[in-house]
Amino acid sequence: MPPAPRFRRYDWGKGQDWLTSLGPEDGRSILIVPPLFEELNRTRKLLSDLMRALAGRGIGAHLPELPGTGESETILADANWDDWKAAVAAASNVCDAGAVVAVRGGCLLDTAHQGEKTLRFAPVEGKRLIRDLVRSRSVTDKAFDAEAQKAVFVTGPTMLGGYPIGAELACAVRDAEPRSGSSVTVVRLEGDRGEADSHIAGAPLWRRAEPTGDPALSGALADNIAAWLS
Amino acid sequence: MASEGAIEVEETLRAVLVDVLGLDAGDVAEFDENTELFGAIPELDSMAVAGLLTEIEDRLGIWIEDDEFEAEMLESFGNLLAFAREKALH
Repeated sequence: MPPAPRFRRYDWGKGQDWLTSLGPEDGRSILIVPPLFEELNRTRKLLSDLMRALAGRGIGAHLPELPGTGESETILADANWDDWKAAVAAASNVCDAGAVVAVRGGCLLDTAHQGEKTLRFAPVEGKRLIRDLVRSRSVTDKAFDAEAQKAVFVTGPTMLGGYPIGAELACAVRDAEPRSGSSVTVVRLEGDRGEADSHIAGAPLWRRAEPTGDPALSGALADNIAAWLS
Repeated sequence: MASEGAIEVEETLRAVLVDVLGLDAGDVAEFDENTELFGAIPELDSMAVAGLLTEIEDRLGIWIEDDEFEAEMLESFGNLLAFAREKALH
């Protein structure tokens, strides 16, 4: 029998959202800060495969839903960047994992600046993330012209990758960069030009319109995380 | 004879097509400049275009402005390669 996930609520101040946990309840564990928006949908399989792979290596993993995403009762258009930062900090307190693994846009929200031991997988600048979302819509929707693209950051909310994103949140993501911290380790895919402490082989599943999992990639990432933790 | 840089751009493009579209590496290795892309490869539909362009930008370290992007670019592997080489090497 594969291990069953456990669900609980965590309180981030203005609301409560779900935290999914898998793997041993005592012993080593990590908090995962997931990718944002459309990349979150595209990496769900990668993240669930990763959590199972970590459980198989005796490592617990906790995955929070951010306010306004998934089963959240918060309306995304009402959620702002500070809410998301508060949510990650609150989830970190609740699961008391002591180590954080942030993926893609999640690296913009991780708690590395607070000194938490953090591994960033394929970190991305906010401006590249939001630009990709805007481009995704502009190539399929002719009415989404230059003026409409500017409005993303001024009026909003704008539907981007299936999410209604408010102007304040869009601006905050656009201006966000992974915050430095002395306790940060960076892992990237081979072929990624950014600075990294190590690389693993695999394809950027967050770019695929029809995402699939990749057991070799999730296994390699779990191995990397296990070595980093020990 | 293509320069080292030109060969590197070509190899990067093939890798991006494999990774982003989930194509078979052996098939993509046989693409030549006349191989049709958009409209001929089912995996490359309008939903996949943005991810493909962004990944090309990331791996080549280039920035493609919206007004630089034209549909002809994706008509054939040769067109895409010519565009990428122009951006990356000039």
